This record gives sequence, C-alpha cells and structure tokens, in this order.
Amino acid sequence: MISLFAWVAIASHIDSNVETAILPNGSYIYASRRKEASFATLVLTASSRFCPETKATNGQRHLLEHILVEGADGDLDRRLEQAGAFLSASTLRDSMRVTIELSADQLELGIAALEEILKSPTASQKRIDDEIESIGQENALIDDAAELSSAAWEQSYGDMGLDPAGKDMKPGSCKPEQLIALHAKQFAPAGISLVIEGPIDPALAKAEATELLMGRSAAYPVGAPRRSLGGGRIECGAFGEARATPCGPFGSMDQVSKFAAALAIASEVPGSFFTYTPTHAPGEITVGRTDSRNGLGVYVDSATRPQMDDLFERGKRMATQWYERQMRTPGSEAIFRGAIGAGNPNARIEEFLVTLKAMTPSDFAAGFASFGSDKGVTVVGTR
Amino acid sequence: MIAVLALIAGFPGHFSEIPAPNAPDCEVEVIAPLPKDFDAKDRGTALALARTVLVSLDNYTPGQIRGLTAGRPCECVVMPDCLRIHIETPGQDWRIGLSIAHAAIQDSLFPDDDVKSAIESLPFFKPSYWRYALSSEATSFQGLSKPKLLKFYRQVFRPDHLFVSVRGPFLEGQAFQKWNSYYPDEWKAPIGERLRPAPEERYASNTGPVTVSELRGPSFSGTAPGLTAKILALYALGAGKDSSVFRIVREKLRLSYRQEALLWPTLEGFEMRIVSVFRPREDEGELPDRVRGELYADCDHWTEATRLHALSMAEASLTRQFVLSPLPFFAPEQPAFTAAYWKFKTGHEFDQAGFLDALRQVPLESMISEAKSFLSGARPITLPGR
Repeated sequence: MISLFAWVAIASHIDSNVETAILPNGSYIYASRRKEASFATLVLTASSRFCPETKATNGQRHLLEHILVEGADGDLDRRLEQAGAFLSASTLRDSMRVTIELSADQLELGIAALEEILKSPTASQKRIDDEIESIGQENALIDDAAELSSAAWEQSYGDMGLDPAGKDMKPGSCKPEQLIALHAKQFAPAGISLVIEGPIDPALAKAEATELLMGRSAAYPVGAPRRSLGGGRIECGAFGEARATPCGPFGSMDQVSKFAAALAIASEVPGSFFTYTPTHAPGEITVGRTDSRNGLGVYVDSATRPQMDDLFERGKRMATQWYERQMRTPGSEAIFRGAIGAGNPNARIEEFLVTLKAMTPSDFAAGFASFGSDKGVTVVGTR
Repeated sequence: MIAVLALIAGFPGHFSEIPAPNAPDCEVEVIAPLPKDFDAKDRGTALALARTVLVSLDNYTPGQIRGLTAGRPCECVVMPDCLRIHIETPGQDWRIGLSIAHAAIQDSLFPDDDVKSAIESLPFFKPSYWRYALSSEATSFQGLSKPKLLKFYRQVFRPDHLFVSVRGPFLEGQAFQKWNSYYPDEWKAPIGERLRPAPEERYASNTGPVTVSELRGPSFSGTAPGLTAKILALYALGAGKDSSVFRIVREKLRLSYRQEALLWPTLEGFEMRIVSVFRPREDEGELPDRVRGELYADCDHWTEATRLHALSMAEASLTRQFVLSPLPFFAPEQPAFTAAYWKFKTGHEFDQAGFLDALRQVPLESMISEAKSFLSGARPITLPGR
C-alpha cells in the first residue's frame, strides 16, 4: 500500500511544459520544455551525503569524476564531441555533477552516456595513478580566491569542510576496489537528480529518465551532518583577504539573509569576489578580494546599523537578480535545480524567492553582522 | 607632438547599437585601443587607470553608480590590445548606461585616495596562474603618478579612437541619437602623434609554482587573408577532448592538466598560441619543441572527421556559452562586446552566421596548412615556475 501510494505521488504536473517525478528509489527527475533554447541540457547530480569527504578519502570523489567521464571504453567524452554533444563534470563538497549539452533530437545519446556514468568503474591501477597525476597538475592551478574560500570552509567546519580537490593524493593511494565502492555510494539512487531542460518534449524526457534511473536500487547510511564550529581567524598562503560565514541550507532565512548581505558587501568593495554553492546542506558564504590585503574586513567591521539598512534594498535586489540569472538559461537552471534536488528531492529552489521576500531589515542586518570579525570567519592571506 | 585637425560633427569614433526589445539588461561596451608603442610602464599605468576610472565620475558618485547598476558589472579591464569598459544596467535604464559610459571616458574624477591606493597595492597583485600564463608581459609601476595617469587617460580615450557598442531594449536609432548628443561640437582630432620605437618583448618574472610552456606564432593583422582557416586550425588543435593538444599534451605526454590553443590579441592584430602550464620539471626547456614535433606529426593524420569536429566545437562556442574556445575574447552572451571588439580588430561588423559559414567553407587542406605553418614558425617559450 505504501509503495502504491508512492507511485501515485511520484508524478506532479506543474504545467504542460514541466514534468517531475520522485521515483520509489528516491531519484528525482525534472524535465522542462524551454522553447527558446537552441540545445538541450542534461544534468545528473549525485549527492555526496552517503560518502562525505573525510581525511582518509579526501580527493577520491574528484578522482572518481575524472575516471567516470571517460565512460566504459575510455572515450565517452570524445565520442560525444564527435556527435556534436559536450560533456563536463565537476566535484563539489556536497555533490558530483555531470552535464551534457546536445541537440534536442539527441536525447537518447545523452541518456546512453549517463548510463555509462552510472556503471561501476573498471579503471586499472595504472589508469587511476595517471589520473592522480593529472589531478596534481589541476590542483597546482588553484587560484587565490579558491584558496581563501577553502580556508574559510576549514575554519567553519574542520574536516567536514574539506576541499574535494584532494591536494594530498599520491599514486597508489587509491585502489580500483575503493573507487567501485565509492561509486556505489556517490551514485546511490536516493541521492540522484536528473534535470533535463531545453526544446524537448518533457513527457518523453521524463520517460527516458525514468527508464534510466528506475531499475537502480541500493541504500546506504547517510554520513554525519555537517556542523559549524563557529567563526575565528585563519591564515592561508594566498594573496588577499576574505570574510566568510557558515550558513543554513539553501532557501533558509539564515542562508538567504547572509547571501543578500554578502552580495551587498561585495558591491561596496570594488574588485571583490563572492562564492557560494547552492546546497541542501549547511554551506559557506565567502566575500573576499585578491587585489589587496585590506579594506574589506575594515569595511565590514566598521559598518553601522543605518549603513546596513541603507544596503537592505540593494542586497535584496542583487539576490533576486542572482536567482534570475541562474534561471535565465536552461543549462544554468538545470545545474541549480539539480544541486538542490539531489540533496533533497522535496526541496524547491523557488523557496529562495519566498524567503527573500519575507526577509526584514533586521534579518539582513543579522546576516551582515555574521561577517564581522567577532562572529564570522576572517581569512588572512599571508603571501 | 603635432596636433591638428579633422573637423567631424557628432561622435567621431565607431558606434553600433543592437536593439533587443525584450532584453532585461542593457550592456554598454567601450573599446579603447592601446597605442602601438605600449610598454611595461604604460601597462602599469593602464592597470591603475582601469582600477580607478569608474570609481567616481563627474555626474555620478560611487554610491550612485552602485545603485544605478544594481550590482551588475561596471568595470574596466586591460586587455592585450585595448582597455575595455563594460557596464550593465537594468534594461529600461539604457540611457543611464550610456551616460555612465560617456562620463567614464570623458569626465572621470580619479579621486586622489583611490589613485594612491591603486598605485600602492597593484604591484602586489598576483594574477591566477592561468591568467599569468596568458598575459605574462612585464609590467612596471615605477614613477607612476596621477598626472601620468591622467595624460594616458586622455591619450587612450580619444573619442575618434573608440569603438562603442550598446545592446538593450531601445528602438533602432535611439541609442545612437543619445550617444551622439554627447558630442554636439565638432571634434578636433590631433594627428601626427609620434610613436616611440616598438618596445622589446619582456616577460614578468614567474613567481608562481607552475611553469608556463608555450609555442607562439608571429603577429598578424585582423584583416590578413586566411583568418578563418587559422581559427579553424586552432579549433582542431586545441578545442575539446578530441583536439590534438588534449590528446598529445595531456594524454600522451601527460604534461599538464590545462593546455589550450588560442587566437591571442596583440597590438598589431592577433597571434596563434599553444599554452600549457605544469609543475616545474627538469626537461621543461625542451618541451615546447617536443610538443611542436608531436603536433606537427599529428596534423598529417587529420581527416574530414577532424574538420567536422573542429566545426562542431566552433558552433558550440560561437552560439552557446561553451567554454572550450580558442577565442578568449569572444563572448556569445555579451553581443555588444563582440560587436565593438570585432569592428576594432577586423574593421568589419560581426556577423555570426556569416562567420560560421566562412568557417564551414575552409577546406581540410587549408586547415592543415595553417596549423603546420604556425607550428613550424612558432617561437618556443618557457617561463620556469618556482
């Protein structure tokens, strides 16, 4: 009876251009017709809640991503390119994402490519070690903004905020069987979202996605939830400075108010950068600059309540615009929607706007104050 | 310097407008070409200018600018061949966007404190490793002062040198009329300005932990024949996982994670480049020539499938926001920039469909020939990492 109920509940038609489903195994599907788009985008997002980064495994998910994008025969991305389709992938703290862009009549090709990604990896030890070497070269290119942000995560969450890039991996440190086990958890059905957007037939896309994801079943215990350790000061070897604050899940008032405040702060300090990755889990919002070592922190610490109130409308407007930019193209919306859907299939990105509308100047001021040296994270670049 | 004068009514530079009735934003671009004798000191001055030119304008305080652009980009950057001002406003405020752009090129106030702060902090700024790999020209801040900055500002933002483009929800002719209204008087353009000898090529010291390894071809004009064949050759060489550079530099030699083929802007036009960055290694000085040999041999195996793959990559990067492109200055999501920049570099209006058609007409033999010609004539460059 419960499973029958689940079957009835899986399909919820928002309108004729959108089809969604939560499958019995927990996988989330969202298919949307975007007539104005010239191509379709498929975004497979796999939540990391069954395999969070630990010191012992740090970097292995990143390695898995490198191995997977080559597909079963080692040339998946190349085969797609030859057909005029393009695959990219990235590993984030809370998920792994595979994006495929193709023409609308190539949907089957995209689904077939994702099927390869979902298969257990068969890479040899040599292949793994080669990719570890490649990742070492990739990590050598990490820029100052990323280092400042990474330090903020470390200060806020300790080992629970480890950078998935995996700076310390060495050849031989990961065995093929470890990757197979990791793959099973990373792509556990309950943590999968597949978002398809573009000039497509959403019912057809949903059917194809359902066929891809439905037969999969496996369950794993969820990793320990990320808990903030609070603020404080941390140094890192980059040039610049940053202020950061841990925040609640995407769409919560805690996240929204800090997010809007961060955008407002960044707009007051020319040349500053801002980082936040939408996630269902507690996250981190960072504002920093890499063109100078000072100015940002002084500005944040000296801001008065009236100054914060003056920025309230701007912060709100900028947060709205940020949201609209994410929704502007099918590709960016699919990434955005997939990130939240993989972590919590019942969550809706639209909640962000609802919360933003409800935000008061006091909420905003509290968000602003959370970047202060007494509450938030102060990152000091030492180079 | 001798000054005198062509009398021209209205805006004496190049202006183009792209009406977009439903655009939620307005995009204004100003391209100010750098002088042909641009040297290391000029680069330092240009960087300080870019940092400060939009801070405070005659009619707009910093707070007003931030409020009017509502958090959208309002920036000036130094490109290898020009200064680029990029301003976005809400669509309905396109007149304000033009007004800010005009104030920036005509009446920037350069507050003393901001200029001082820029001059003091810029020498310590370190670009990302990839940005350094692409733009490793030497930069000097020695002797930089506000008077020098102001002199450079007047020199570079001469109205008759500028390429301005705007995209937004206006009717045809409206933006042009608005922009022209800023130039009611006849423009007196100084001519006969004497250039210094072209500066010697110098690179900034590499303080990063990665080595830059490169093959760099000679500079050629944007109007030179064969530009489309060169561009298609660059797509075949370096765009995508099936490109020669990816297969050989990353997969066969396992040399680097990031390696690209590029059509790079220069003061004279463009140059073809293949750039890779990697952790320092003992044989790094020999690698450019090794890469050259491997790539040259690979060109002999290019087939019609290679050409079609290159075209497919070109279509993706020119019509979508696909990032693997050898044209780092081309941004399909910023059509006003493309319009102004292409006019500046080639003298022609940019026509996306026509450009793609021209790429489709390039025969395989021409693509191979351009790739080999570049590879055989390119200078090997190694900038050792720490």
